[in-house]
Amino acid sequence: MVTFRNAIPLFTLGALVSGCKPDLDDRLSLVDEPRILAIRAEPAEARPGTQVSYTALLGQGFGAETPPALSWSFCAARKPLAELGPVASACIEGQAGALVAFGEGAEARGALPKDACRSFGPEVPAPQPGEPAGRPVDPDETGGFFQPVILRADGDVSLGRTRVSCAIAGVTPEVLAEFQQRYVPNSNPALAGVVASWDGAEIALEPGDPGSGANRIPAGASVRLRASWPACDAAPCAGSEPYVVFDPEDRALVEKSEAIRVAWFATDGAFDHDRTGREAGGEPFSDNRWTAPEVAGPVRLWVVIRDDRGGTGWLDYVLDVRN
Amino acid sequence: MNRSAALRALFAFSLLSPGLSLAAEAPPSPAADEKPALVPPNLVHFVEAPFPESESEADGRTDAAVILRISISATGEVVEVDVVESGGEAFDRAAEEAARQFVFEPATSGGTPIPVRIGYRYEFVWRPQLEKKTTADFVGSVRDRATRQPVAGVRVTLGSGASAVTDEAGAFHIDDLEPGTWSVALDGPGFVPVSTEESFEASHVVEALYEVELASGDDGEDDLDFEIVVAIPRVKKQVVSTEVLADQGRRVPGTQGDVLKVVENMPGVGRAAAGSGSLVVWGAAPQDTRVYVDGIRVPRLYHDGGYRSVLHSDLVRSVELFPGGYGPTYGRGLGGVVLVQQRRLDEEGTHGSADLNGIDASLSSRTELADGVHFAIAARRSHLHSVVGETSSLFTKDDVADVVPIPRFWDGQARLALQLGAGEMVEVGGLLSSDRLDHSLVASDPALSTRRSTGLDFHRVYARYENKSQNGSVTSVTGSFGGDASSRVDTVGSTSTSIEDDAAIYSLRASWRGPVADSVIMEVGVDADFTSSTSTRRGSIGAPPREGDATVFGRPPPDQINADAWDTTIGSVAPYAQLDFGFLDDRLHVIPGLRAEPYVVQTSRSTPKVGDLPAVSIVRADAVLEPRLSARFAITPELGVRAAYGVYHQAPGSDDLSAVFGTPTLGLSRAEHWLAGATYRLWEGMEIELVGFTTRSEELAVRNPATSPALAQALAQNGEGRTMGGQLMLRQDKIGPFFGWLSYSLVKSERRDGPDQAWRLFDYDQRHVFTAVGSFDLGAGVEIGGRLRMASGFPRTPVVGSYYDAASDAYQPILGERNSIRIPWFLSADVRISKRFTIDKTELELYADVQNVTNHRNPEEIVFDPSYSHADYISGFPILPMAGARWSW
Repeated sequence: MVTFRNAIPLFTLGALVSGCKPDLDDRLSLVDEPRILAIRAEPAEARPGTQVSYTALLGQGFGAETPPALSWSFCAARKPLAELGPVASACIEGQAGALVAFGEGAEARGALPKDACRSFGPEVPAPQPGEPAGRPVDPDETGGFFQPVILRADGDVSLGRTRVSCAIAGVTPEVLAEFQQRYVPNSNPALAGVVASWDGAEIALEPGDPGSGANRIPAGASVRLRASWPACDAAPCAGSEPYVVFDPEDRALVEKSEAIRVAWFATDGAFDHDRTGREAGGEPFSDNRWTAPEVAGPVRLWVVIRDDRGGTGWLDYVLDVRN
Repeated sequence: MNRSAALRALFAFSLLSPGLSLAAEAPPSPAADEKPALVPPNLVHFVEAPFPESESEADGRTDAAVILRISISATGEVVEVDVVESGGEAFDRAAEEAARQFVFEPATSGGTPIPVRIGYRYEFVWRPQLEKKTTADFVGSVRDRATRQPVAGVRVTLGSGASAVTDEAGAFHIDDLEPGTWSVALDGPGFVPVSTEESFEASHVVEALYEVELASGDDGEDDLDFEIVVAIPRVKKQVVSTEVLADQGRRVPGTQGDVLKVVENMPGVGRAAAGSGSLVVWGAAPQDTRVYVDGIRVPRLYHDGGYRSVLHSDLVRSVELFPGGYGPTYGRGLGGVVLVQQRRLDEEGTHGSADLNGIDASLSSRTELADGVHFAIAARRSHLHSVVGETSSLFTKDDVADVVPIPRFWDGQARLALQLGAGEMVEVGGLLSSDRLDHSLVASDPALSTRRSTGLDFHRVYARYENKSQNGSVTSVTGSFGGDASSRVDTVGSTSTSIEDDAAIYSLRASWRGPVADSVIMEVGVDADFTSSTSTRRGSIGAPPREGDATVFGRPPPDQINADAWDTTIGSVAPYAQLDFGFLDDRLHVIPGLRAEPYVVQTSRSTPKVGDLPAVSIVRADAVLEPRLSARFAITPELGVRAAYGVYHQAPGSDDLSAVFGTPTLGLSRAEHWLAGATYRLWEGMEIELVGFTTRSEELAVRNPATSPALAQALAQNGEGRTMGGQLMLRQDKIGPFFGWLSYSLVKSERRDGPDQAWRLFDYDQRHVFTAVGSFDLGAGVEIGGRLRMASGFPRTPVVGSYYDAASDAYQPILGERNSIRIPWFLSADVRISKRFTIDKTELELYADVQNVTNHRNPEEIVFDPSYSHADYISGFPILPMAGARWSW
């Protein structure tokens, strides 16, 4: 008999009475103070010991604020099963010995720890005589294992995760060999562009600085924004890549395609949705609607694309809102 | 009490007057040194004559004397008896008959035996002698509750077939009843029969006073409506328990007419989270409190959402809650026990009901198929999802079903009872129940889409034999088999969790209870249970959440996943015994008991599957002794004290024995209960009870805190629990138009997840729970009731900060001290109003049940904005009116 403990209140109660749920109007899409919007690792997936370049997307307005000081660390503490977050609390708290620093600034470069597949992957140390074997780390739905990366920005903490190329635990040699033959490491997705359209007008947004005259949008306009990415037939590609994953229930390799999520950020105006996206195998674009502010002026726009294997890409624009 | 006369006979004998002739010549006068001339006969063998049956104290004859003339031979034998002076024909015959059997030492003359005749006075004196009866007597009276005047013409019928009709004084008596527990039905021409139960013991008289309530005829209704209240005190077997009869339970506001929902209002029961339907008793987790229906364990008391119980109320006689400290009859649980007694099938004719309300529709029927053969059937099906779907557009443009998870359920019961003889019966029956709950929230961001689907079906088939013997002992054997099938699928974004469990359950319960000596009652029995489960699970290793998880509402589960499929068999056979010693004229009872329970737990996989390696199963055997001790003392007829102690064990659930998500080698968890209390009867029907209790539990399964746990040890058996508290209840049985109760519980319940961990509040800790329930009969079939509930909010873990998870593009909370804050107080007032109409010999009841009539906004959960920088509360049900109609016959 399966016993569900306090699951029902925790999982469903928020939906229990729609009329009684408070409206906590905090839109993540509005960037009104400097904050990290995304972290990209290049390559998106690497073996332990490989050098990886990290870039942080810092969202901030046009003010003369001093960007926060950024520092990068690898998390060295494995998360206990009793902790339900994505990373060990010791790394968030910055406990001694939990972090291995490797860089400063908006970009940094560091080598993935050589024991990444043991600390955060399927490898376990050989058991001592009389002692039971250790438990390997469990993968996510895409079969991935991730090296946590901590980015500190003036006291605020952001977590990045780099997909680590490891083996699979608990499979036959044949399955492992097939996996290693068929699996293609993840690549970061990339946006092909963003098109804005309103009242019969349509423009492809162009990167540029304020005052360049590009990306003119009427004040108060309701603008449809379409972010697109390349269609994929085979990996590697910058869109929804196909990949193989070991299904722990069927005990076999299955083919999947990446789902794509798009996050929208702006320094002004309002989006209909903070996040949009496509399920696996969907069309290579995603739409959102943005209402321009009534007050003319420049507006920063960031569009971040993510795949569900941890890859990240983005484009940023300056919109010229005019009366 | 039989009256056999014991008699004492006095006799005097005297030699007759000198006119008496002697058979031999008188010898010459002896000289001074010679032997006496005449020595009278000496009676050496007396025979007691029975006091004639035809003569009785009722006739005023308590004594009599018969003068006899007895001729005695030279050998001392009686040769002739004549009545000289009669004491009455019957006495004369008795005296003659007895005298003929006298034996004498013969009279002598000069040392030579001689025949003589003597006069003999035989006296009779009557004294009653008590002999113990093997049957019982039942005497009582029936009176009008309102006027306290006797009610004549009420037929009192027992399940044994005996019956009597109350006389002008409202009195009745029924003698020579076979011992046992018999239903007692009161009815009369035009009355709706009502019934209760009494227990009869050999050589005892049961005295009862029944108060009936006559509906007023102000509106011109001629038919009378009875409710029955038993005014004599109820004998309690367990030290602490709260029992509510079905008729009262149905009328409690907030229960929507569902008898078993009254359990939520009993002292010691914490308020469940809105819509959960779970029972939190004395700080124990919901899965630690067991539910039994006539001794058969069922997996739940309420359907999803807590709207309805799983049993139709018409088939329920009573529900009793034992929050702790109960005897050895039950075990396998660390918490309390809920015992549901099904209604006895012994009514004449056909009865039933049909009920339609906003939640569900139900039907029940009970009938006598033949003499001593009764059948009952009931079924219920919910339609709340249809009602909401059809009416929600009147209130909102949103598709409510997309937002509010609305359960769908049905249940059914069937029973066939055969009366084999006086006190002997056989019953076969079955229970079915099904629950489904589906809802989804599709978001433009696939990572935020959620879907949930749950299901729980169970069924039981049982056969029961029961025999109540003449000496008051009861033998009962119940065998049952059945199955539980549960499933759950949760999807949050791309992380999906699915759990399925199919269990086959076989159980046997046999017991004998009866007197073994004066003031000593013994109960012995065996309680066996075997559960074989097949389980599959896939998804997040951190879902569903466990008690003690440091998390907050709305946080997605960990995205690490795995899968497992395993089988378990958990079996135990528990012989038990209990002795009830009565002292001081039954005022003091000391009840020691012992339950011995060997367990066998077998799991098909001791380690996760690796490649094609075959599974290695593991078997764990444990044997435990569970002493139980209770005592109660009636210091005065009004004041009683009680105390209890018990040791309890609970086997791990099959879901915790997974080699991937749990630990296959988990052993038994253990708990000890101590409690003490007092009860004072303020006046007839009004009682106040105060109980203090403490429980300790250990070897509870918790998430393994190690950073590098061993394989197949996701759970560690290091958890401990402690609870301390008290409860106060003031209860008024139905006297006049009113019944109700006030209850208050003060409970502190804590856990720690390892011996080196700090104590923290238990997730279900509710420091204060106050409930006031009252129902008032206004007359003319109108009844109004109210319920007021106040309870502390559940503990929660505060959020002291947050960080941005760039990989999932979501914020994660930074948590403070576990369970160090609380959701604010809960307050709700509920009202129920009903009107009953009598139509021929049927009854139609229209009712309205309004929960949270003040529309108080009760916080049920803390909810955060996406960045965890702002928080507010989700409130529970707003004002929730429910109307319905119930037709019974």
